[in-house]
Amino acid sequence: MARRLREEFNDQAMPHVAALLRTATRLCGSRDQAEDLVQETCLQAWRSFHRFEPGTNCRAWMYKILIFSHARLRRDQSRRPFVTDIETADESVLLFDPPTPDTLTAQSMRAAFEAIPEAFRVAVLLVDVEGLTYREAADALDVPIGTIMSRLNRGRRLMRIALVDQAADYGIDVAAADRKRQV
Amino acid sequence: MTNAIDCRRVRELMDSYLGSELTVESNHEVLRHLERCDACRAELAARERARALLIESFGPAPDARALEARVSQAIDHAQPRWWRLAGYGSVAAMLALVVGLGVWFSRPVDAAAFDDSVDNHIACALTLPPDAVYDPRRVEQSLAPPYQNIVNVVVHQSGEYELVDAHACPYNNRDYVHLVYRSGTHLVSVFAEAAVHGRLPLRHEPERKGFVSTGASTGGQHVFVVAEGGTKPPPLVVDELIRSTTAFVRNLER
Repeated sequence: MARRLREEFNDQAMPHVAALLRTATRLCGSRDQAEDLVQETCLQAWRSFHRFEPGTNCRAWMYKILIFSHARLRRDQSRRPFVTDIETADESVLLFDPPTPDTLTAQSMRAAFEAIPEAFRVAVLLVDVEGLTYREAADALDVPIGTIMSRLNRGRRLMRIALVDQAADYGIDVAAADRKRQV
Repeated sequence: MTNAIDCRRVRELMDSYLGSELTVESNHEVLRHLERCDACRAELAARERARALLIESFGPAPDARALEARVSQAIDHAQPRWWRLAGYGSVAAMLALVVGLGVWFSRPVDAAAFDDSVDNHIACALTLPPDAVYDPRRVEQSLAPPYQNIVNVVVHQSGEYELVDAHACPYNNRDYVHLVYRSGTHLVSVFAEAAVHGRLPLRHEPERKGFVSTGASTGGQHVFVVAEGGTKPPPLVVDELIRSTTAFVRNLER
Protein backbone atom coordinates (compact mmCIF):
# COMPACT_ATOMS: atom_id res chain seq x y z
CA MET A 1 0.00 0.00 0.00
CA ALA A 2 2.78 2.40 0.97
CA ARG A 3 4.71 1.71 -2.22
CA ARG A 4 1.59 2.15 -4.34
CA LEU A 5 0.76 5.47 -2.65
CA ARG A 6 4.31 6.67 -3.22
CA GLU A 7 4.17 5.61 -6.87
CA GLU A 8 0.90 7.50 -7.29
CA PHE A 9 2.46 10.55 -5.67
CA ASN A 10 5.47 10.27 -7.99
CA ASP A 11 3.17 9.96 -11.01
CA GLN A 12 0.69 12.67 -10.15
CA ALA A 13 2.37 15.23 -7.92
CA MET A 14 6.09 15.16 -8.69
CA PRO A 15 5.74 16.16 -12.38
CA HIS A 16 4.53 19.58 -11.15
CA VAL A 17 7.70 20.37 -9.19
CA ALA A 18 9.33 22.28 -12.05
CA ALA A 19 6.24 24.44 -12.65
CA LEU A 20 5.83 25.02 -8.91
CA LEU A 21 9.47 26.10 -8.67
CA ARG A 22 8.98 28.54 -11.54
CA THR A 23 5.92 30.04 -9.86
CA ALA A 24 7.53 30.05 -6.42
CA THR A 25 10.60 31.83 -7.81
CA ARG A 26 8.30 34.50 -9.22
CA LEU A 27 6.37 34.77 -5.95
CA CYS A 28 9.41 34.86 -3.65
CA GLY A 29 11.90 36.63 -5.90
CA SER A 30 14.67 34.39 -4.57
CA ARG A 31 15.65 30.93 -5.81
CA ASP A 32 16.63 29.71 -2.33
CA GLN A 33 13.34 30.78 -0.77
CA ALA A 34 11.45 29.33 -3.73
CA GLU A 35 13.13 25.92 -3.32
CA ASP A 36 12.29 25.87 0.39
CA LEU A 37 8.71 26.83 -0.41
CA VAL A 38 8.34 24.07 -3.02
CA GLN A 39 9.88 21.48 -0.72
CA GLU A 40 7.47 22.49 2.05
CA THR A 41 4.61 22.35 -0.46
CA CYS A 42 5.56 18.84 -1.57
CA LEU A 43 5.90 17.61 2.00
CA GLN A 44 2.50 19.03 2.90
CA ALA A 45 1.06 17.43 -0.24
CA TRP A 46 2.61 14.07 0.62
CA ARG A 47 1.31 14.17 4.20
CA SER A 48 -2.19 14.87 2.88
CA PHE A 49 -1.97 12.67 -0.22
CA HIS A 50 -4.11 9.93 1.32
CA ARG A 51 -6.93 12.46 1.12
CA PHE A 52 -6.32 13.46 -2.49
CA GLU A 53 -9.13 12.15 -4.66
CA PRO A 54 -7.83 10.35 -7.77
CA GLY A 55 -9.22 11.85 -10.94
CA THR A 56 -9.37 15.38 -9.55
CA ASN A 57 -6.91 18.06 -10.61
CA CYS A 58 -3.58 17.41 -8.91
CA ARG A 59 -1.94 20.49 -10.44
CA ALA A 60 -4.59 22.81 -8.97
CA TRP A 61 -4.32 20.99 -5.63
CA MET A 62 -0.54 21.44 -5.55
CA TYR A 63 -0.85 25.10 -6.48
CA LYS A 64 -3.40 25.57 -3.72
CA ILE A 65 -0.95 24.22 -1.16
CA LEU A 66 1.84 26.38 -2.65
CA ILE A 67 -0.24 29.56 -2.49
CA PHE A 68 -1.43 28.73 1.03
CA SER A 69 2.12 28.02 2.22
CA HIS A 70 3.39 31.22 0.63
CA ALA A 71 0.58 33.26 2.17
CA ARG A 72 1.27 31.74 5.59
CA LEU A 73 4.97 32.45 5.21
CA ARG A 74 4.25 36.07 4.35
CA ARG A 75 1.72 36.39 7.15
CA ASP A 76 4.24 34.99 9.61
CA GLN A 77 6.85 37.43 8.32
CA SER A 78 4.73 40.55 8.22
CA ARG A 79 1.89 39.73 10.62
CA ARG A 80 -0.43 41.26 8.04
CA PRO A 81 -3.16 39.56 6.04
CA PHE A 82 -2.08 38.45 2.56
CA VAL A 83 -5.08 39.82 0.70
CA THR A 84 -6.28 43.28 1.58
CA ASP A 85 -9.56 44.71 0.40
CA ILE A 86 -8.63 45.03 -3.25
CA GLU A 87 -11.86 43.90 -4.84
CA THR A 88 -13.21 47.45 -4.74
CA ALA A 89 -9.90 49.26 -5.25
CA ASP A 90 -9.15 51.63 -8.10
CA GLU A 91 -12.67 51.66 -9.52
CA SER A 92 -12.22 55.12 -11.01
CA VAL A 93 -8.97 54.17 -12.71
CA LEU A 94 -10.48 50.99 -14.11
CA LEU A 95 -13.23 52.79 -16.00
CA PHE A 96 -10.44 53.58 -18.45
CA ASP A 97 -9.23 50.65 -20.59
CA PRO A 98 -6.47 51.84 -22.85
CA PRO A 99 -5.20 49.93 -25.88
CA THR A 100 -1.98 47.97 -25.54
CA PRO A 101 0.99 50.04 -26.73
CA ASP A 102 2.86 48.77 -29.79
CA THR A 103 6.21 49.65 -28.27
CA LEU A 104 6.62 46.93 -25.68
CA THR A 105 9.65 45.20 -24.25
CA ALA A 106 10.02 42.36 -21.78
CA GLN A 107 11.34 44.90 -19.27
CA SER A 108 8.36 47.23 -19.68
CA MET A 109 5.94 44.30 -19.29
CA ARG A 110 7.73 43.18 -16.14
CA ALA A 111 7.65 46.70 -14.70
CA ALA A 112 3.90 46.94 -15.40
CA PHE A 113 3.36 43.51 -13.80
CA GLU A 114 5.29 44.51 -10.67
CA ALA A 115 3.25 47.73 -10.41
CA ILE A 116 -0.13 46.09 -9.87
CA PRO A 117 -1.52 44.97 -6.47
CA GLU A 118 -0.36 41.58 -5.27
CA ALA A 119 -3.71 39.76 -5.45
CA PHE A 120 -4.09 40.81 -9.09
CA ARG A 121 -0.46 39.95 -9.77
CA VAL A 122 -0.86 36.41 -8.44
CA ALA A 123 -3.96 35.87 -10.62
CA VAL A 124 -2.12 37.14 -13.72
CA LEU A 125 0.92 35.02 -12.84
CA LEU A 126 -1.09 31.82 -12.49
CA VAL A 127 -3.22 32.27 -15.62
CA ASP A 128 -1.27 34.36 -18.13
CA VAL A 129 2.24 33.17 -17.25
CA GLU A 130 1.81 29.66 -15.83
CA GLY A 131 -1.13 28.74 -18.04
CA LEU A 132 -3.58 27.59 -15.37
CA THR A 133 -7.23 27.64 -16.40
CA TYR A 134 -9.59 30.03 -14.62
CA ARG A 135 -11.03 27.04 -12.72
CA GLU A 136 -7.57 25.82 -11.65
CA ALA A 137 -6.55 29.31 -10.52
CA ALA A 138 -9.80 29.69 -8.57
CA ASP A 139 -9.14 26.36 -6.85
CA ALA A 140 -5.53 27.27 -6.16
CA LEU A 141 -6.48 30.59 -4.59
CA ASP A 142 -9.58 29.17 -2.93
CA VAL A 143 -11.86 31.86 -4.37
CA PRO A 144 -14.92 31.68 -6.65
CA ILE A 145 -14.18 31.63 -10.38
CA GLY A 146 -15.91 35.02 -10.73
CA THR A 147 -13.36 36.53 -8.35
CA ILE A 148 -10.51 35.18 -10.49
CA MET A 149 -12.07 36.64 -13.63
CA SER A 150 -12.54 39.98 -11.88
CA ARG A 151 -8.95 40.04 -10.58
CA LEU A 152 -7.60 39.10 -14.01
CA ASN A 153 -9.67 41.76 -15.71
CA ARG A 154 -8.53 44.42 -13.26
CA GLY A 155 -4.93 43.22 -13.20
CA ARG A 156 -4.58 43.18 -16.98
CA ARG A 157 -6.27 46.54 -17.30
CA LEU A 158 -4.02 48.10 -14.63
CA MET A 159 -1.02 46.67 -16.49
CA ARG A 160 -2.20 48.31 -19.72
CA ILE A 161 -2.62 51.60 -17.86
CA ALA A 162 0.91 51.26 -16.49
CA LEU A 163 2.21 50.53 -20.00
CA VAL A 164 0.45 53.60 -21.39
CA ASP A 165 2.00 55.71 -18.62
CA GLN A 166 5.41 54.30 -19.51
CA ALA A 167 4.82 55.03 -23.21
CA ALA A 168 3.75 58.58 -22.35
CA ASP A 169 7.06 59.04 -20.53
CA TYR A 170 8.68 58.36 -23.91
CA GLY A 171 6.35 60.83 -25.63
CA ILE A 172 4.14 58.17 -27.26
CA ASP A 173 0.40 58.84 -27.42
CA VAL A 174 -1.11 55.34 -27.32
CA ALA A 175 -4.73 56.46 -27.76
CA ALA A 176 -3.79 58.36 -30.90
CA ALA A 177 -1.94 55.31 -32.21
CA ASP A 178 -5.05 53.20 -31.59
CA ARG A 179 -7.24 55.69 -33.45
CA LYS A 180 -4.80 55.42 -36.33
CA ARG A 181 -5.24 51.60 -36.27
CA GLN A 182 -8.98 52.10 -36.83
CA VAL A 183 -8.58 54.28 -39.92
CA MET B 1 -16.48 50.97 -40.27
CA THR B 2 -17.00 48.99 -37.05
CA ASN B 3 -19.39 49.53 -34.18
CA ALA B 4 -17.65 51.13 -31.14
CA ILE B 5 -19.72 49.13 -28.66
CA ASP B 6 -18.74 45.94 -30.46
CA CYS B 7 -15.09 46.92 -30.12
CA ARG B 8 -15.48 47.58 -26.40
CA ARG B 9 -17.23 44.26 -25.87
CA VAL B 10 -14.63 42.38 -27.91
CA ARG B 11 -11.78 43.96 -25.97
CA GLU B 12 -13.41 42.88 -22.72
CA LEU B 13 -13.50 39.32 -24.03
CA MET B 14 -10.14 39.43 -25.75
CA ASP B 15 -7.95 38.08 -22.94
CA SER B 16 -10.36 35.23 -22.25
CA TYR B 17 -10.35 34.53 -26.00
CA LEU B 18 -6.54 34.30 -25.89
CA GLY B 19 -6.78 31.90 -22.97
CA SER B 20 -9.42 29.75 -24.72
CA GLU B 21 -11.79 30.46 -21.85
CA LEU B 22 -14.78 31.70 -23.87
CA THR B 23 -17.99 29.84 -24.58
CA VAL B 24 -18.44 28.71 -28.19
CA GLU B 25 -20.96 31.51 -28.78
CA SER B 26 -18.70 34.26 -27.40
CA ASN B 27 -15.76 32.81 -29.30
CA HIS B 28 -17.72 33.10 -32.55
CA GLU B 29 -18.78 36.60 -31.62
CA VAL B 30 -15.13 37.62 -31.21
CA LEU B 31 -14.02 35.83 -34.39
CA ARG B 32 -16.77 37.47 -36.46
CA HIS B 33 -15.80 40.88 -35.16
CA LEU B 34 -12.09 40.31 -35.75
CA GLU B 35 -12.76 39.41 -39.38
CA ARG B 36 -13.96 42.93 -40.06
CA CYS B 37 -12.10 45.09 -37.49
CA ASP B 38 -8.47 45.99 -38.18
CA ALA B 39 -8.08 47.88 -34.90
CA CYS B 40 -9.19 44.93 -32.75
CA ARG B 41 -7.01 42.55 -34.77
CA ALA B 42 -4.08 44.85 -34.06
CA GLU B 43 -5.06 45.02 -30.36
CA LEU B 44 -5.29 41.22 -30.23
CA ALA B 45 -1.82 40.90 -31.74
CA ALA B 46 -0.51 43.49 -29.26
CA ARG B 47 -1.99 41.58 -26.30
CA GLU B 48 -0.59 38.28 -27.57
CA ARG B 49 2.81 39.90 -27.85
CA ALA B 50 2.44 41.51 -24.41
CA ARG B 51 1.68 38.12 -22.85
CA ALA B 52 4.64 36.50 -24.60
CA LEU B 53 6.92 39.32 -23.44
CA LEU B 54 5.68 38.99 -19.86
CA ILE B 55 6.54 35.27 -19.91
CA GLU B 56 9.90 36.09 -21.51
CA SER B 57 10.61 38.69 -18.81
CA PHE B 58 10.81 35.92 -16.20
CA GLY B 59 13.60 34.22 -18.09
CA PRO B 60 13.86 30.49 -18.79
CA ALA B 61 12.26 27.99 -16.44
CA PRO B 62 14.69 27.02 -13.66
CA ASP B 63 16.23 23.57 -13.74
CA ALA B 64 14.27 21.63 -11.13
CA ARG B 65 16.12 18.29 -11.27
CA ALA B 66 18.20 18.90 -8.15
CA LEU B 67 15.12 20.08 -6.26
CA GLU B 68 13.14 17.01 -7.33
CA ALA B 69 15.85 14.79 -5.85
CA ARG B 70 15.89 16.88 -2.67
CA VAL B 71 12.11 16.68 -2.36
CA SER B 72 12.13 12.90 -2.87
CA GLN B 73 14.72 12.54 -0.15
CA ALA B 74 12.73 14.78 2.21
CA ILE B 75 9.61 12.70 1.56
CA ASP B 76 11.53 9.50 2.32
CA HIS B 77 12.46 10.94 5.68
CA ALA B 78 8.98 12.29 6.33
CA GLN B 79 7.36 8.97 5.46
CA PRO B 80 5.95 7.12 8.45
CA ARG B 81 8.37 4.39 9.47
CA TRP B 82 5.76 1.62 9.33
CA TRP B 83 5.05 2.53 5.70
CA ARG B 84 8.68 2.22 4.80
CA LEU B 85 8.87 -1.12 6.49
CA ALA B 86 5.59 -2.33 5.04
CA GLY B 87 6.97 -1.46 1.61
CA TYR B 88 9.39 -4.36 1.92
CA GLY B 89 6.58 -6.64 3.01
CA SER B 90 8.85 -8.97 4.93
CA VAL B 91 8.62 -10.61 8.30
CA ALA B 92 11.87 -8.93 9.24
CA ALA B 93 10.25 -5.58 8.61
CA MET B 94 7.35 -6.48 10.84
CA LEU B 95 9.75 -7.57 13.56
CA ALA B 96 11.57 -4.29 13.20
CA LEU B 97 8.25 -2.53 13.61
CA VAL B 98 7.60 -4.40 16.85
CA VAL B 99 11.08 -3.48 18.06
CA GLY B 100 10.43 0.09 17.02
CA LEU B 101 7.18 0.13 18.98
CA GLY B 102 9.06 -1.25 21.96
CA VAL B 103 11.49 1.63 21.71
CA TRP B 104 8.62 4.07 21.55
CA PHE B 105 6.98 2.50 24.60
CA SER B 106 10.18 2.99 26.52
CA ARG B 107 10.05 6.76 25.98
CA PRO B 108 8.56 8.27 29.10
CA VAL B 109 7.46 11.60 27.58
CA ASP B 110 6.04 12.26 24.11
CA ALA B 111 7.58 15.71 23.72
CA ALA B 112 6.37 16.31 20.15
CA ALA B 113 2.76 15.25 20.81
CA PHE B 114 1.21 18.72 20.68
CA ASP B 115 3.47 20.04 17.91
CA ASP B 116 2.62 17.09 15.64
CA SER B 117 -1.10 17.59 16.12
CA VAL B 118 -0.74 21.27 15.15
CA ASP B 119 1.38 20.38 12.13
CA ASN B 120 -1.14 17.77 11.03
CA HIS B 121 -3.97 20.30 11.40
CA ILE B 122 -2.04 22.58 8.99
CA ALA B 123 -1.15 19.76 6.58
CA CYS B 124 -4.52 18.07 6.56
CA ALA B 125 -7.51 20.06 7.87
CA LEU B 126 -6.49 23.34 6.21
CA THR B 127 -6.34 21.68 2.79
CA LEU B 128 -9.90 20.40 3.14
CA PRO B 129 -12.08 21.93 0.38
CA PRO B 130 -14.03 24.88 1.84
CA ASP B 131 -17.31 23.43 0.59
CA ALA B 132 -16.70 19.96 2.04
CA VAL B 133 -19.72 18.55 3.86
CA TYR B 134 -20.09 15.48 6.02
CA ASP B 135 -20.43 12.46 3.74
CA PRO B 136 -21.21 9.25 5.69
CA ARG B 137 -20.01 7.00 2.86
CA ARG B 138 -16.68 8.82 2.45
CA VAL B 139 -16.18 8.82 6.22
CA GLU B 140 -16.95 5.12 6.48
CA GLN B 141 -14.36 4.38 3.80
CA SER B 142 -11.78 6.70 5.36
CA LEU B 143 -11.84 5.42 8.94
CA ALA B 144 -9.71 2.52 10.05
CA PRO B 145 -9.66 0.25 13.11
CA PRO B 146 -9.84 0.81 16.00
CA TYR B 147 -11.60 4.10 15.30
CA GLN B 148 -14.06 2.97 12.63
CA ASN B 149 -17.09 3.59 14.88
CA ILE B 150 -15.96 6.88 16.38
CA VAL B 151 -18.50 8.95 14.43
CA ASN B 152 -21.30 7.01 16.12
CA VAL B 153 -20.12 8.25 19.51
CA VAL B 154 -18.68 11.76 19.15
CA VAL B 155 -20.84 14.88 18.85
CA HIS B 156 -21.55 16.01 15.29
CA GLN B 157 -22.43 19.53 16.41
CA SER B 158 -21.02 21.60 19.25
CA GLY B 159 -22.05 25.23 19.47
CA GLU B 160 -21.66 26.53 15.94
CA TYR B 161 -19.13 23.86 15.03
CA GLU B 162 -20.27 21.02 12.81
CA LEU B 163 -18.44 17.78 12.02
CA VAL B 164 -17.46 17.86 8.29
CA ASP B 165 -14.91 15.05 8.02
CA ALA B 166 -13.45 12.07 9.87
CA HIS B 167 -10.66 9.87 8.60
CA ALA B 168 -7.64 7.77 9.51
CA CYS B 169 -4.72 10.20 9.33
CA PRO B 170 -1.20 8.73 9.41
CA TYR B 171 1.22 11.56 10.11
CA ASN B 172 4.84 11.69 11.21
CA ASN B 173 4.93 8.14 12.59
CA ARG B 174 1.54 8.58 14.23
CA ASP B 175 -1.73 6.84 13.44
CA TYR B 176 -4.29 9.49 14.24
CA VAL B 177 -7.98 9.46 13.78
CA HIS B 178 -8.79 12.98 12.65
CA LEU B 179 -12.14 14.71 13.15
CA VAL B 180 -12.62 18.09 11.47
CA TYR B 181 -15.26 20.52 12.74
CA ARG B 182 -16.12 23.75 10.96
CA SER B 183 -17.93 26.96 11.80
CA GLY B 184 -18.00 29.31 8.80
CA THR B 185 -14.42 29.31 7.57
CA HIS B 186 -12.96 28.40 10.96
CA LEU B 187 -11.73 24.83 11.35
CA VAL B 188 -11.07 22.85 14.48
CA SER B 189 -9.25 19.51 14.45
CA VAL B 190 -9.72 16.78 17.01
CA PHE B 191 -7.14 14.01 16.96
CA ALA B 192 -6.98 10.76 18.89
CA GLU B 193 -4.06 8.34 18.85
CA ALA B 194 -2.79 5.41 20.85
CA ALA B 195 -0.25 6.61 23.43
CA VAL B 196 2.55 4.55 21.88
CA HIS B 197 5.04 7.43 21.95
CA GLY B 198 4.83 7.93 25.71
CA ARG B 199 2.85 10.10 28.07
CA LEU B 200 1.94 13.67 27.34
CA PRO B 201 4.37 16.32 28.58
CA LEU B 202 3.19 18.08 31.71
CA ARG B 203 3.89 21.47 30.12
CA HIS B 204 3.86 22.49 26.47
CA GLU B 205 3.90 25.65 24.39
CA PRO B 206 0.18 26.14 23.64
CA GLU B 207 0.78 28.23 20.50
CA ARG B 208 2.64 27.04 17.39
CA LYS B 209 2.69 28.60 13.92
CA GLY B 210 -0.34 30.70 14.85
CA PHE B 211 -2.40 27.74 16.05
CA VAL B 212 -3.26 26.66 19.59
CA SER B 213 -3.52 23.13 20.90
CA THR B 214 -4.78 21.45 23.99
CA GLY B 215 -5.01 17.81 24.90
CA ALA B 216 -6.08 15.10 27.31
CA SER B 217 -4.86 11.59 28.03
CA THR B 218 -6.69 8.47 29.16
CA GLY B 219 -3.40 6.66 29.70
CA GLY B 220 -3.66 4.44 26.64
CA GLN B 221 -4.96 7.12 24.28
CA HIS B 222 -4.30 10.82 23.70
CA VAL B 223 -6.87 13.35 22.44
CA PHE B 224 -5.91 16.75 21.03
CA VAL B 225 -7.87 19.78 19.87
CA VAL B 226 -6.21 22.27 17.52
CA ALA B 227 -7.64 25.61 16.36
CA GLU B 228 -6.49 28.88 14.87
CA GLY B 229 -4.92 31.17 17.46
CA GLY B 230 -6.86 34.27 18.44
CA THR B 231 -10.16 32.97 17.13
CA LYS B 232 -10.24 29.70 18.98
CA PRO B 233 -13.68 28.22 19.68
CA PRO B 234 -15.40 28.85 23.03
CA PRO B 235 -13.99 26.78 25.92
CA LEU B 236 -17.31 24.97 26.22
CA VAL B 237 -16.97 23.73 22.64
CA VAL B 238 -13.39 22.56 23.21
CA ASP B 239 -14.48 20.87 26.42
CA GLU B 240 -17.37 19.09 24.68
CA LEU B 241 -15.18 17.94 21.77
CA ILE B 242 -12.56 16.53 24.15
CA ARG B 243 -15.18 14.88 26.36
CA SER B 244 -17.07 13.23 23.51
CA THR B 245 -13.85 11.93 21.89
CA THR B 246 -12.48 10.79 25.22
CA ALA B 247 -15.73 8.87 25.83
CA PHE B 248 -15.04 6.88 22.67
CA VAL B 249 -11.35 6.16 23.32
CA ARG B 250 -12.07 5.05 26.90
CA ASN B 251 -14.22 2.31 25.43
CA LEU B 252 -11.23 1.11 23.38
CA GLU B 253 -9.36 0.43 26.61
CA ARG B 254 -12.11 -1.73 28.13
